[in-house]
Amino acid sequence: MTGSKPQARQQFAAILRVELLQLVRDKRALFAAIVLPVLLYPWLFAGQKKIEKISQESLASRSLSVAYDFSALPEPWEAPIWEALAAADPVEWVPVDAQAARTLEEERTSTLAEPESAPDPVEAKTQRRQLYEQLVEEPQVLLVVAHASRSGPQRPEISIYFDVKQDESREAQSRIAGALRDLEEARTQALREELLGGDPAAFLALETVDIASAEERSGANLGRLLPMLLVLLLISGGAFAALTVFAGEREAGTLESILVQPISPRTLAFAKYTAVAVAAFATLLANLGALYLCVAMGWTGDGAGGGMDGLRVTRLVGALGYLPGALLLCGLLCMALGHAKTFREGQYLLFPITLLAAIPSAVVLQPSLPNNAVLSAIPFTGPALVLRDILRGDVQLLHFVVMTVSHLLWVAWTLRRLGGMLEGERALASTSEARRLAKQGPARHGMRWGFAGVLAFYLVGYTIQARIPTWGVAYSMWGLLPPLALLCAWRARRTWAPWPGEAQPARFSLAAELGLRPGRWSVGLGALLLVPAMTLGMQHFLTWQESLLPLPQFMQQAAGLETMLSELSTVQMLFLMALTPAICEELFFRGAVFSSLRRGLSTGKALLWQTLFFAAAHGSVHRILPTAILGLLLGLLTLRARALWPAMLFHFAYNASQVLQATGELPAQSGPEAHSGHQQLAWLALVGFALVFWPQRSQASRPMTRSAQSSA
Amino acid sequence: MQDPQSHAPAAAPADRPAIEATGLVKTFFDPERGEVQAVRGLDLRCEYGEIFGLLGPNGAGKTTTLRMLAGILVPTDGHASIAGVDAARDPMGVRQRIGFLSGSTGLYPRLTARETLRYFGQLHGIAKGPLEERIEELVEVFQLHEFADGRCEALSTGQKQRVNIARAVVHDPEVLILDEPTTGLDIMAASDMIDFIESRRSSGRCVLFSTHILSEAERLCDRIGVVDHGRTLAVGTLQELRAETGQEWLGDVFKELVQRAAQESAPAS
Amino acid sequence: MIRAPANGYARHRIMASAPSPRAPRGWSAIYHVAAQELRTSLRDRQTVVNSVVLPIVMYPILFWLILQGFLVVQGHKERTTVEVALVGAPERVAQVQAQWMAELDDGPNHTLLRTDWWPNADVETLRANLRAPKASATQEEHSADRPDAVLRLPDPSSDESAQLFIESTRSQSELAGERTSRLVGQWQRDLRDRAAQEKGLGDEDLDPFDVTSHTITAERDQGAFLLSLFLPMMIVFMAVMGAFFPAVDSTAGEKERGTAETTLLLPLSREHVLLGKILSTSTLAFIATILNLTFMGIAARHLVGTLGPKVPFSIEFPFLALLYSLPLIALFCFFVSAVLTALAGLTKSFKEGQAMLGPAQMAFILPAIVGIMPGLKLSVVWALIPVINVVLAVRAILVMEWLPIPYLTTALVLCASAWLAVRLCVRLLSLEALAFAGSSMSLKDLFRRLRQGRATPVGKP
Repeated sequence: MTGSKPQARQQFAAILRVELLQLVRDKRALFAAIVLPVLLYPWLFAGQKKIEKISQESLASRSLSVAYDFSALPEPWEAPIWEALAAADPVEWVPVDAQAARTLEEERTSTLAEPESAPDPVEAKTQRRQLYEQLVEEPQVLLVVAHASRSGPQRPEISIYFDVKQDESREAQSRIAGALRDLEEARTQALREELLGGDPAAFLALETVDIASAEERSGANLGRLLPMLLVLLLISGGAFAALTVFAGEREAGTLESILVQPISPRTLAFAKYTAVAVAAFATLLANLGALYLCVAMGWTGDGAGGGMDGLRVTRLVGALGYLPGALLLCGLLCMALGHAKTFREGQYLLFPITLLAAIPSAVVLQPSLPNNAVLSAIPFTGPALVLRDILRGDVQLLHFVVMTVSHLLWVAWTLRRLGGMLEGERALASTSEARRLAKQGPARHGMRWGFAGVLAFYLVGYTIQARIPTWGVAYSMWGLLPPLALLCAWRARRTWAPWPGEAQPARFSLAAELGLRPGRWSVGLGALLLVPAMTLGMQHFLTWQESLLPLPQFMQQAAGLETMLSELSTVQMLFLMALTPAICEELFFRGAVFSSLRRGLSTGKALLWQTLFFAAAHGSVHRILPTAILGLLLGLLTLRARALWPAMLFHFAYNASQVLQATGELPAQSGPEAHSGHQQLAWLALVGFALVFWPQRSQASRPMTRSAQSSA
Repeated sequence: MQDPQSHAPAAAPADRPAIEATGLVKTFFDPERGEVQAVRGLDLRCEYGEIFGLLGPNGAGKTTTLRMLAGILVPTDGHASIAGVDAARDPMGVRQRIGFLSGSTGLYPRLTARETLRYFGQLHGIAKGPLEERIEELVEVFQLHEFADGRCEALSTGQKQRVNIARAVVHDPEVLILDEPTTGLDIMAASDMIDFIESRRSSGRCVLFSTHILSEAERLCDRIGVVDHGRTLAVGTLQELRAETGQEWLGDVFKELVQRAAQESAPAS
Repeated sequence: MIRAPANGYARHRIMASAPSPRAPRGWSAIYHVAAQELRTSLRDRQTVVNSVVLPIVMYPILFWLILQGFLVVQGHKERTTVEVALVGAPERVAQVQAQWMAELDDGPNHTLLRTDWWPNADVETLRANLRAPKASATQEEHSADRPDAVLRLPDPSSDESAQLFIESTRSQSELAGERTSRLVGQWQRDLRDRAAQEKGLGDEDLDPFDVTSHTITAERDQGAFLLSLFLPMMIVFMAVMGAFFPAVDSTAGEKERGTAETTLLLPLSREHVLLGKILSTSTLAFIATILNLTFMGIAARHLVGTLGPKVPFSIEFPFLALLYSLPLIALFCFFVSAVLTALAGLTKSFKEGQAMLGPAQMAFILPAIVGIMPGLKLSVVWALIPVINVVLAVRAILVMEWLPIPYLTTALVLCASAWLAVRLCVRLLSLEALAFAGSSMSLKDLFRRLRQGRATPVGKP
């Protein structure tokens, strides 16, 4: 019996069957996760419809009272204006004291006329509010004052004063302003006829013809809410399954019995993943079925979905195009919840996962955003956009293919991770936890500080910079980063150990921790030689990035560099934009944080993490890639030099070259005439590269184990 | 409780030990203490038809050793093999040949006993016909009739234990590894367990079990390995150990060995 | 298996520190239980992460993600090139070409106006053409054989107006429609200005009167108003989320850890133990709500700050109004905690507890969504409905409305319903079958027992 070789396929089927059986037999959880939500839909819709009706009726039919002073209204206008205002009914009109109303009006116009001599705007507003409150008592929530215009006695100016925070006041404002706008429109048209002999632009009055079919429009409506809904439904069904299948097994102790069976972790992972996916889809189908039923029976109010006429089942079936996204979501759930040792721990992870999947899906709220290949490949954004396009009959094959392929690759990645997680070594909680903690002891220190630094820089630093426009950069950098670096390095004392592969004095030294050591001079020289090539390369990179990830116009205009250039001298600019970041950022990112990270992680991972922190600290998605490239290079320099100063030098020189280009003291190298210099640049870069990366004699680097140290 | 081993007397050449481990080392990392050697150079050899007891206090490295033998953990150093199959190189092969049961292995609460047995049989790739026969056999032997079709969550501790044992031997393994099998069991369940272990010996299979209960070891074991701090302090039959230490009771034997080991290591460090 | 030993130890200490033979009674007992539960919770890493660290870290990241996502989407939309066919009367087309197309060509608009598509087609042909070549739409970006929108200019002799054909369900077309409407609006103004200039007329000659609206609301109140549109609902979410895990933890979790029996053995009445637990749960929920509010406020202010002067509005954060609503929020936290703890007490494991509370959460969240519908106003009638009354009351407090009787009613209703939940919970927990660790019962069973009456109360001193 023991001799027969078990086949992976049979094992897969057996595991899947048992997992599903277990899920189905958990009646109470099944009821809570699947049946109850389905039963809730009709109630939900009915309730919403009812309340919506109440809320609409209560405002639209409400009788409002409006205070007015029309004493200054030119006589010929009285009749037409009252006629127009009748459209705003039901309104009770209450006349107010003309003198006081005029004071209010004068107060406002005077501030407009002479903004320099005007009092503090907050104070002025307080004064205006007091005047208003004198005039308008409780039920009277709006004031309309007319007065003759300065431009002509026959041309009235009407001011509407209202209180935003009061529902009645807003309602009255919108009704009255609407009525007056209609009147203005009609009168303007009449004036054009009279003075210009007709509207010269009449032929441009646009009539928009939408040639989309009713079904497509209904699909578009559905596509606006379905992607987000799918995420929530899949999570509600899948999370319960993933928790049972992973954390539940750990808690019950059955994971250990499974791990001693002759099953490869990959088969196990795949079977469990499939069980989760099946549960998620079952939930999804049940919920969508209930939703469709509610729509078909006409239980939904107009608010939900905005009408779904003519939507055929074929199109709804097309929604299965979301499948890759759903599979990825299940994979993500398994990966995150597979780590959890108890139900409780897994439960805490659900909220972040929901956000992680729902936020990228929110792009569908922008119907006029065209999909493209890049967006299609982004997790959850791609499937959401493809689903939206499928529903409205506008999907492009390329996007669908890119989305499917990329998401299946993502899924494969999660499954690989899952398989790795179920290796006996990692799956048995008690030991793996200790191992993970210890291995990352110093690394965790680095990560924590890196993250804290980024958060502090982002929250505090940017606040300072917003308050103090020019010198805020210097204040925030000098004020935040060096102290943080010092603290981080000083605290690293507790988890201190020599870096792997580097022979050093076996004692903690703050300077060494911060990278303040002599290091290798050749690397510093090489770094300097690399600067021109880097500057040029970055320009090309930015051009390329702009084509892929364009910056919105309003962000381009608001660079703020011009004001700085006009205010500061070149030397000041160099201090602010080159020297300050070179010292502060290097001390923190390549000094303290990188030093800590290198201890617990492999060199590659440490490099990657410090790059990530450095990029994240720059706070904008458009700067992530450029700063990541810079950060990676700076990290490599530090690593090669075994000291910080070459990275500082490079950072300074690189930033300085950009500052000088901006001030015009250094020719920008983007023009065609610069091409002649490319060859020299390439040579320079080659020499620099060689200097930096020339293999050094190994300094008797022996791997040190902590146990050897501690037992000695 | 007698496990049916009618099918095949363990087809094992006598020249190959059932379990062999040499110089096993397992190093863990601990957040406070850094690297911790749970097992440091442990040697072990068990023959077919033998019950071997691993005796040691809590934290001696017993569980880690057994897990390494079962191919769940990879040894940091050293070598372990089951029936000639290397545990690190072919963990699947090892897992096919062993049955593993520990105090913390649970049962699926919402499966019935029969379903549990079927499930684990399927995972071992046993064909449908033979598997059903085997399940009936196990139900018979372990007296599971009354509750074979009830959910496991409703079973008493003793009943659960019986299902668990049946689960571990559904593929009739050559080697059975038990990690503190009687911990937490009541008297009846524990004695069932002991009966079961004894039954394995008679059919020429090997049982390796760890325990810190001395009476169990005295009663069952052909040979005993005393471990502490991840090292084997002594191996032998009860008589041999008594002779070596000059103590009568196993408890005293154990204490003596531990004290000796402490004296030896004290001047070294 | 990971156990949380802190619970047992902490309880031990309390017992040890109260050596007097007289067991604590009344408030003192409640206080001791609550303090112990709180200490246990605050020593638990997961609880701390969830109710303290998460609010601090989540909002900046969340808002950052949303802002950056918006920037990417916006940039992408701006960069998308759309093509609009200009068809219709040749003299009109020529006019547009002459007057406005030159500046369009090299502007940053990414809008191409082309005149070489079906210049003489009538309306029906246009419709047909626009819909026809769908088959080739698989090409990346825009397909050269079909414009994204068609602007049809009417014959000068007719008094038709211009028509803009779009397909609203295609992003490119929708975008082309948006941009074209904007362009045509500019052209209209341009034409009218020119005509007026020719006649020597100023702007105001063609404008019969001015209507302007001015808000007299203080900036702080404007901020409060904007917040009142969604914040009351968020507060309910936060309170429910904050109470969820502590509620399960102190009841079902206690059974799972095996300390429930220890609690039963305490010389305290069931009510006091339960009140203590509810108190600690509501304290945690309150802390979580306050932290969430604070850091959401900070992150939001910061977000507005990073956008700098580009933001067209300025909002003051209504700290004072929020401060006034704190008592009501605290009361609500207590109510939520009482209900959730009562429900979670029916289950035996964390997993079951959370399966039970999941749908129960909806009972709070749905009314909260209802409560922020525009037009609803706190009245004595609304104040009788729990949850909705809190939402409406916080809404009113935020805009500084003074409605003493509804506020009072709200508070009273909350207290009454919390008391009801506590009573129910005590009654349930006094059922023998539920009190002991490791047992739970089906709902059917439960109702049967409740109908039967008090059954067998356990542990009443």
